[in-house]
Amino acid sequence: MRDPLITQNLSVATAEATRKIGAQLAKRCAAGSVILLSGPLGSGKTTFVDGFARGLGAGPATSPTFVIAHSYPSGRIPIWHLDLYRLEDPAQGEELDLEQYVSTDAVTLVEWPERVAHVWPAASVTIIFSITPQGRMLSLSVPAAMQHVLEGLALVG
Amino acid sequence: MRLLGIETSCDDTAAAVVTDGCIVESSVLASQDEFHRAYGGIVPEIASRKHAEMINAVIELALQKAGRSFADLDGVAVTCGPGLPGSLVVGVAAAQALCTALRLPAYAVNHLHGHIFANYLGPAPKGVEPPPAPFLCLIVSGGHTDLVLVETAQAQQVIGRTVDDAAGEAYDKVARLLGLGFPGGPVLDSLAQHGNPAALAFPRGLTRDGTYNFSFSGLKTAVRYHLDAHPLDPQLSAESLHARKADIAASFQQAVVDSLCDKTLKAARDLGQTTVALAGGVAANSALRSQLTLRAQALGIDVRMPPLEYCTDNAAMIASAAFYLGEQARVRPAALRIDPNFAW
Repeated sequence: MRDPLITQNLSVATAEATRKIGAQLAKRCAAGSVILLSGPLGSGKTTFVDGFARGLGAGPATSPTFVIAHSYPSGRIPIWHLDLYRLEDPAQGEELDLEQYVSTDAVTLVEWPERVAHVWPAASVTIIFSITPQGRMLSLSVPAAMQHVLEGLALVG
Repeated sequence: MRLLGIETSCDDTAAAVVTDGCIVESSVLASQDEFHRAYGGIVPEIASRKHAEMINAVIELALQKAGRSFADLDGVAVTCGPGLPGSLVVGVAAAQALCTALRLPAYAVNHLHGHIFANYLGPAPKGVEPPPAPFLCLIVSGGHTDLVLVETAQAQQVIGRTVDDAAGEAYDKVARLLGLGFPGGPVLDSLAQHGNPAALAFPRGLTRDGTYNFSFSGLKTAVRYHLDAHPLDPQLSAESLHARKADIAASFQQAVVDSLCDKTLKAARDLGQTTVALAGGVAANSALRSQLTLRAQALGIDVRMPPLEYCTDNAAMIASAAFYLGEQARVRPAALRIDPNFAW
């Protein structure tokens, strides 16, 4: 049976605040982490990755939508930044051999992960972005065993 | 000097034969109609397996259309990056095999360098006059928005780039929001011609930041906010719906074109450049072409634009880049490697 999920919601008013949460999470993530970023266009997914990459000393990061994968090898931990927005059909994910982007010596951040859902490990961090009248809501979930990743995160928003 | 160019860095498998960096003897894409007729409709999209299925036939057709054989080649140029590893490796392996078997020099080319050299390409038998260096080159595509100072054909520096989304990506995403097809550029461009570019005040990113950087993420989000606040009502008549979409497309396009023109012409003035060249898929956009030309002319700046077929990804530009970069790009065939993060 799957570990129960621990969820934490963070409300942010600016893109800069989204970047800060990304940078904070970067400091808590070890190599091998997979972070799945879901939410509509313009909800802050790439902005979050930009903050995350800067937090690891590897940024800035820009949108990989067109080329699907960007890598940022120069930070504390190498980063793979994937964006599956362009995939219309899960079979294209198999063609792309997405498993090659998940490894024990890198952090993998995936935008639009639901386009090819079965590839990602159960022990992933999931962040659901939504647009609210106040700005953005980030809803972060981790399996209970990874609870430490979220501890104290609310203080930084 | 006659080079075979090979390009597999993104969606299309491409090969070309180019002489002296400017005379295009052939330029073949796997998505071309005649290719489909000859080899049956596989389009590589993003998958390396499909590049692998196409690459030999694409190279063969490029040679055949040029009326050349392997013995007529003086070298092979290939895109080594940036791009997806699985796609790049197909072109690089083909180039390596050809160079080793035929004892030809190999040239490793950056895809973005290649886009600049689209401005050096013309049809056989004479080619075109290259743009006079130094010049500024604006590379705008689905994956890139870079402003490059080309000091000489061999020395370039990036002076500005997008900090978030590429211009072509913004087109694709806004086209999706409007329920139009992919790729979004051509569809939005033609729809915009029926709309009022001043109908909606969409933001221009980074207008007063003092850099030559671009930002299109906020513009995309602004279109989204507009549609959230004023949804496209399916009860509307087809004409009203079309008119609303056309106004959004035109206003969006005007914001993109203003951003691109403002920063490019500001850089040209600041740096005393008298020639601006376009490159990349978005360089095929009619509004960008016409407005940049008009605004540049008013400043006494000459605008160069590649033929439409060399704006989008192609292999002729890769062969041209290799010719002009020469020894800088030359590598031992055994040392040819993909470089997914190929830096300028």
